[in-house]
Amino acid sequence: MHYSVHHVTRFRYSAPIRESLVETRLRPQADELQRLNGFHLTTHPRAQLFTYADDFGNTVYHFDIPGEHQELTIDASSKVDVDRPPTLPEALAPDAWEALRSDATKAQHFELLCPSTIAKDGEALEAFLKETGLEPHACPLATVRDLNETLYRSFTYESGTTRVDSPIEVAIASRKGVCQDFAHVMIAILRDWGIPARYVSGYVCHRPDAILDRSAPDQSHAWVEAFLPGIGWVGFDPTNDCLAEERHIRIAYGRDYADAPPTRGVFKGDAQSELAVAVTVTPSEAPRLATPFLRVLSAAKVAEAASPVTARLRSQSAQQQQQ
Amino acid sequence: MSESKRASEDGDPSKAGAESNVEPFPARSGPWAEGLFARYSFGRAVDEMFERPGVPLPHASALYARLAELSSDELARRQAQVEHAFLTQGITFTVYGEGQETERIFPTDLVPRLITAADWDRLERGLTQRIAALNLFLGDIYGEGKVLRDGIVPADLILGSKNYLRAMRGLKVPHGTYVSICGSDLVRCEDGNFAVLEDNLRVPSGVSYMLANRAVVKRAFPNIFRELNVRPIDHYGRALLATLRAMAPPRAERPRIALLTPGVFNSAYFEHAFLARQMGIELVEGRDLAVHDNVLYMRTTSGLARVDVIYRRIDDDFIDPLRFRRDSMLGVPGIVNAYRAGNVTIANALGTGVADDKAVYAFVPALIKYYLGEEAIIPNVETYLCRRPAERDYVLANLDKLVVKAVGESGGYGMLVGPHATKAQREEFHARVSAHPDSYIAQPTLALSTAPCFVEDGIEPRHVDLRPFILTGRETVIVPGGLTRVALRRGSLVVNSSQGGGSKDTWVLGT
Amino acid sequence: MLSRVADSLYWMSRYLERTEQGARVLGARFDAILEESPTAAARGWARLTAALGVDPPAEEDEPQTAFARRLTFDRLDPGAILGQIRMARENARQVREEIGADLWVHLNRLYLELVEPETEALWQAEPVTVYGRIVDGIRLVRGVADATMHHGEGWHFLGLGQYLERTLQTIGLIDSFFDWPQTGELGEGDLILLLRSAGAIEAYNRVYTAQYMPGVVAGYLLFDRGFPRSVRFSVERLNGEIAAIAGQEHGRTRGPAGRMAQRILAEIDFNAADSLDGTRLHPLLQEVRVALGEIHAAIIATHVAYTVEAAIAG
Repeated sequence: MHYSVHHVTRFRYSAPIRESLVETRLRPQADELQRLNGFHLTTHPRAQLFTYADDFGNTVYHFDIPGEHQELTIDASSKVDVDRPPTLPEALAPDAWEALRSDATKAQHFELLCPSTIAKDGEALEAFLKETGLEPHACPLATVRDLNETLYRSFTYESGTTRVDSPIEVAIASRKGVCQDFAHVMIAILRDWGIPARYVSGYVCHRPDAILDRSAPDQSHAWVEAFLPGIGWVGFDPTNDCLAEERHIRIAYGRDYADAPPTRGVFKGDAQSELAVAVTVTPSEAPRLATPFLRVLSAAKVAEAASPVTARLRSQSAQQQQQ
Repeated sequence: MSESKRASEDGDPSKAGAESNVEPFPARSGPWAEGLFARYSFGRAVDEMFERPGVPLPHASALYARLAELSSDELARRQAQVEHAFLTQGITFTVYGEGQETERIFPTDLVPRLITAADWDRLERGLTQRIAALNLFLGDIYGEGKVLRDGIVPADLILGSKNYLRAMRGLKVPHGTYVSICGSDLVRCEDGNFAVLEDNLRVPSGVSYMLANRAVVKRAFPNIFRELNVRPIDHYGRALLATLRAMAPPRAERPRIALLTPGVFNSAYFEHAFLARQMGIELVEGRDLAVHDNVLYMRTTSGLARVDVIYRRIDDDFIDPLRFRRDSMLGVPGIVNAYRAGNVTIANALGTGVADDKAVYAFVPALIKYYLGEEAIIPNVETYLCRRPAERDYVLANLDKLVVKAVGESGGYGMLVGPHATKAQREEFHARVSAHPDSYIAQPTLALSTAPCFVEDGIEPRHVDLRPFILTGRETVIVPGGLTRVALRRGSLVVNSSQGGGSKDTWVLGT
Repeated sequence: MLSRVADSLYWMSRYLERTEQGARVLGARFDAILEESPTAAARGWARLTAALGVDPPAEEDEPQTAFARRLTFDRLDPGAILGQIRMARENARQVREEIGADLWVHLNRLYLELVEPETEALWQAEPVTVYGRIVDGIRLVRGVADATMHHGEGWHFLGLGQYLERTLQTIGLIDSFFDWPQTGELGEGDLILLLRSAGAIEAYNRVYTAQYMPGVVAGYLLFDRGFPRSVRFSVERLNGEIAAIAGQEHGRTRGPAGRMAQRILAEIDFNAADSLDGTRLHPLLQEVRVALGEIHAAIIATHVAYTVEAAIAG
């Protein structure tokens, strides 16, 4: 499938700020199943763009805006071809679990088998597993399929109940959340069971008859890839109860959201920020929407706790270890 | 209270683990001496001055003779002079707390500790070898990862360490040097040989005390200093500057170098200011710096000035709020990207802490073999890795004889000194080690060597260790000497300055 | 020199100067109090708050001594003597390397003496003595700075803060007498108190003998070229410091701060030629005050708090 993606991110600040530094992970991956035919990033105010590949192979674009500004817009357009991955077998080889438990797998995917900052096990997760009766099957592939579907059934899609980097306990407690939460829960369980799992950020193109698609059509999306012996990385989308195939456009990988946020930035100034995002994913044949509709994702955050800046500087300074 | 405690401990160069695994020797008075040395005693530990009671080692005989001539009043006078010089020169650390602040000097003992030319030659070669292997190791684990694939070091030990920084992967550092400034803690064991107890690869401190000790002690003993042909160390500032210059990005013809300090409230601030002054470089805080278009600048009264090398004295976590701790007020947003782009060098590199972990320490001799094809010239202290079942069982069976340390933590925390522990403490550690064997190592108790120290009105032996400072840019330079740290309290095993530790000048003898 | 260091030196110096003047004004006030009528005293305290730019007592009936104690010993009030010394010390702490150990030791000692309970006890009995000690302490700090510091850029930032603050203080003092609440008749006693508050009584007497007339006294504090706390003298020095700082950079003109300082000097000299007309005094002082604000802003914008963007463009 051919897609045009238009992703607009806008930050508004309650007061003028300066010296913004922003890192973006907005460029889709280019690999054998996904070809990148064009990528264009602009910012307003204008900035010189720099790029590097991070340790997951994601292409990071970063820039800074030294002068005063009260609004920052990042506009990313991509043209992508996505191929359908080979059809999955019914079951993996009988020794698939042994292969996963081998030292080779452990060495190769060590970090994707360990709990990470957000996707980590705990009592809440254990209770959740017990309650849903989830457990590994004889075949790892069946295991992941079952997990994907069970998560879809166990959680209600509802935005505003969690934040992108909420610990999984929040979603587990309310059984509500959005794509990041489902991905994080799934990753934590897979790793607990010894299946290497990574977080994927990207876009999903909704089916015309998208009754099953719960993810918001105008935002970026997140799902999970699991490492399966004999096949490699396979994408599962617990939000939409499906495999991540040619409708899913991959941007960035990570252990969890913290490794792959679409944007991350810091600035100088005493202001609160409001983030608005608009994503349009258009199969190339269809006409592209002229003006994307920006949806406010996070209204201005409450000012940080009232720890006086000087006191914080002082206590950090005193605590720097000198060996 | 807690703040004052932190302030003194964190800045304390003597914080390392040397204090724990030593045991006091039984006092046995020396039959030979009257006067100053009347209370001198011997035990299990080797002595740095005496071969046996009353008989100094050949290289120490001149100093012994000179000391024996002096009265205790005369020594007390010189000791007071030394301390006064420290105070007036502001060679102090500040203890904060309760709205009050106190300037303290890091106690210094005026009797120098001697190291023979032969010993030093071996140490110099051994430390150079060790830092070469450690730098290759860091380059490997942040690069290809061969050492992990070859199974020399378990991958989980490195990749699972909280000090392993993914941000450093694939980042090229000049000359492959990750650790430009290393402070390794050495001890002389019962067999008379030096062993490495710990490497400090992040922000080793204490070199200012080494230099300050020399400045005052050589004046206290001018004649004997000249007579012994002591090798100079006062070029340390120039050597450090040359090292940092060598680390500059190739683009910079006349690199501008700045020392990044956490600020005046850090207890090692004196050292930061001292070193900046010695080198004639700017002493900056995070708020003095800004990154624009991937280039690091400092704010001066005449505008922005490009900075090429940062000698950082702040922790990894704090250095870039864009990348690490977002609440850090000490760092510079964007500096890691400027670093990655090769526009600035950070020394020491980020992520070096993964290699001075206590568990990784145990692998250093193997790393020397792996990378250099050589045997370690200076051995490690024998170390049991509880992650290995056989060694864990040995440790659990011998908790009363061993020192058990938590890995991935700084010295002093999460530690059991077996011989001095209560039954309850040993039982607690038994449970902890059994539950999380990967998190613990154990070492035998050591009898650190002793050196004569002026205490009250006489000279008594005290346990010492040695922290030389190893500088590596394109090549490795070690100024002959180091900081000899002393457990000043009688019978004490703790060289920590907040607990009665101090330091003394270290004289490496010329040939 | 690092901008942060220059900024700390500048503010340290301003706080020191402010403290010195505050202590002098308070000392003069307590000295006068014994011979005053209650009305005169009330007027005097009101003038004092105007001169120091602090809020008058919040409650009408706050006793004058309680008010004065607050103005002296409130460590957290930046309008109080101790609060200002604390700020000076905090700034000095940031730049200990630049100012050297001697200066730090003396400033620190001054602070530590003031926070001791004995000092407040002494103040209860002999306030004038305590204020005298504070003034002496600051002069000692200034003297140590002069004798020990390298007279380079950092030194000039100290001078900049000192003379800018001094000019502001002298202006505020003159204004508080001549414009309070409107220029009434100033008696001899008022004029002597004004000169005392400015530390000018002896210097004035030497020039004009002990004859006090409003126009002459105001003219002395404004225009005299030899009296070190006069507006003319202070702005002249300020102008020199601005030039010295600008001179640190190659190829830069003295910039807006220097032009502004010279404009003040021209304005003062123009007015000094005529005898001082009371109706022109307050507007003139106001004009100088505004210009000083612009000098401060220009210096900070050029050397300290410039944006990265401006620096790149410049």
